[in-house]
Amino acid sequence: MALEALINRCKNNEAKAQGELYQLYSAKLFSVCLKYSRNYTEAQDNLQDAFITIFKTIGQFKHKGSFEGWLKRVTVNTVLQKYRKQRVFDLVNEQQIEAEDVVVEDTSVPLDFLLKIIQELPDRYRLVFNLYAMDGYSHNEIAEMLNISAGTSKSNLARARMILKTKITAFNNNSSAEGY
Amino acid sequence: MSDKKHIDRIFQEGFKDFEASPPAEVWDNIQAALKKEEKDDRKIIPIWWRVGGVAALLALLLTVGGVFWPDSDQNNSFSNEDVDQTEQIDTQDQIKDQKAIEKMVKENEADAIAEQQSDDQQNNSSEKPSAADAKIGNGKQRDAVADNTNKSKTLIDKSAVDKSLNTVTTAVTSNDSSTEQDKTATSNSETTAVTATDNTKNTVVDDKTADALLETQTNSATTTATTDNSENKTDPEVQKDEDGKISIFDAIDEQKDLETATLLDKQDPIDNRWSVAPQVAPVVYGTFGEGSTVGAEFADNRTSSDANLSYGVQVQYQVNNRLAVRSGVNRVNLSVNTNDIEFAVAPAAFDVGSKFVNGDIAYTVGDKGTLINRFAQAAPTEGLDLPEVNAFEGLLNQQFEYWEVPVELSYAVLNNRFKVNVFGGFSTLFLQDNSITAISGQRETELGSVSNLNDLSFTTNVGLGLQYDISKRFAINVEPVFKYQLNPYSDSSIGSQPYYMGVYSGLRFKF
Repeated sequence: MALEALINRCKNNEAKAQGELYQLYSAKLFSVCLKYSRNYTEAQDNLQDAFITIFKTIGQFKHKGSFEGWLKRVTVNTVLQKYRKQRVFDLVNEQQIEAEDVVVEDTSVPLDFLLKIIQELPDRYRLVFNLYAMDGYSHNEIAEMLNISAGTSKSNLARARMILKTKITAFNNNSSAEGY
Repeated sequence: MSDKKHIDRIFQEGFKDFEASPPAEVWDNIQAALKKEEKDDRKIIPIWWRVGGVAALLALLLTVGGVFWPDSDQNNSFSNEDVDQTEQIDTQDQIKDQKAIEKMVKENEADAIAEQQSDDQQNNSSEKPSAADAKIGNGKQRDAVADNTNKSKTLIDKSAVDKSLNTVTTAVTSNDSSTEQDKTATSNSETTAVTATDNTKNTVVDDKTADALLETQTNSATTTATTDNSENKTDPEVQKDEDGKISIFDAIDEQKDLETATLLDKQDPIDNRWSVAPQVAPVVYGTFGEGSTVGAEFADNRTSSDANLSYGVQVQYQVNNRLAVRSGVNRVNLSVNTNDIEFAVAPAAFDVGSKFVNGDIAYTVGDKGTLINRFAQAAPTEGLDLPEVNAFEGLLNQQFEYWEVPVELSYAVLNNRFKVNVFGGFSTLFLQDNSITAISGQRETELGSVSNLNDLSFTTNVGLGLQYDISKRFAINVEPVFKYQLNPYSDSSIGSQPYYMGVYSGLRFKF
């Protein structure tokens, strides 16, 4: 109920309510931005744009479904929109590879390292990996969102997993060599 | 070392509770961007009011002046004195009109306030909204362009001042409110705490992103510790006039007045103020009073009219939910027939009937059945034979082509998806072309044009607008309109007072 009131106040463009909403959700949405962006600065820009979009379009939220889910969708779409403008998805003639199960040693890899190697992935691999592995979108949905084929989405996911695996393995070897 | 695990799982588990507080500058930037947009929105209104005001004044002057437009004709019935007097009356009328308009505006506002009051009374019967509302009403009159958030703020300010004369309660309630704020603060510090523990768990901190992350986390940890207070301070809009007061207000009144303030905000959620409507209408010409448009001789002849076409573009600006100002450009073709005439080709020297010259040929037009006799009487009696005159019975068809520029005010009586508007205003007509044709059976003879039409004339318009919104941006319009022509003829001997009616229909696009 309190959330609903806050949302309604944001719909009326109340500055104070907008501040409260930001306080409540900025950390959650910033983590989304960090995962989907190339680096910290870009994530910051994306969060900023996402919130501006959120405040502008909050009138369209009809209190159906989870508000947090809506916020996340708007944020992800803001990031995708940007990459669409940069024509990130226009790559063609890529050799597609088959998806396979990629497993690694279950060691405790620090979160910072995981984030770093996600951000280092090529743009489309990163987006596909995030959408599929972290946020549970299907390949068909991803294909539609990124304007690529479902096959390309699968192939990108496989490549992303392989890159990530290589890096994690290297990290594990390194840290065990250094005696951690 | 341990089990193999699917790589997706590693990331899913790792990021399950991942949260990161963004740096404070992000919020500053967001606020700046939001404020800038708000300002951009506001700018449009004052410019419009200025331009619209000038246009309305011009239209008023032209129209009211046009009634007494000095005719170019010599047999103008007004003497100079008359003109002076009428001008005086005229200005008095204007003043009266002005007052009437002001009165109307006030009444409208009174209505709005009354509505507001009834709303208020429903919301909280114990309050005394009339005083506060009166203040808002004043504010409205003084500054019509002021936006709603300002108004609601003055409301908050005033009531806050009214209620918080006691400084002791201020101290107490501000304590209360700070604990309330602490709630959000704690939720925040919890999240930072989570990430902080994550950090201590992970021992490797030597790459750039990790550094950056840690830095910001410690940053935000310190900032969030202080912010919730400083947050308000960095927010100039909130801080300036609401900071302390609103919290008192919350504590005392449980937001009831805020709700009325937001109600005020809601009053004006017009997204698309401008709209354009290409429109087309069949128009029918008619006259009050006796008389033909061609000349005094045909005053008692029967007149009739064909339906003609008017088409153009209408531009509308929505001032508020109900009131709109509109203008545009229309092409208007009008047509009127004067029946029971007779026309003939005859030497111009004969002073018979109404004469028209088209190229080398002179035409004479008279009442039906009179021409032969009149020629006979006018013919020189000695030495010359009567020239052979072939007279054709028929009708005179007169065509006028105007460019019309209306300036109208529209008020929504019914304001749903289906709208009913009443509107009224003036149009300025620029004469583009006129022609007169004699028609006898299959024979059509172009006679030329008449010279007794004013190049610039005016109409007063009233109409009923029916509108149905198909979508947010598109609407269908059907508008029956009555337009009374004020001074179409420069020849004051013509007694007919013409008007035309049309049913304008079009597709409105809002933007």
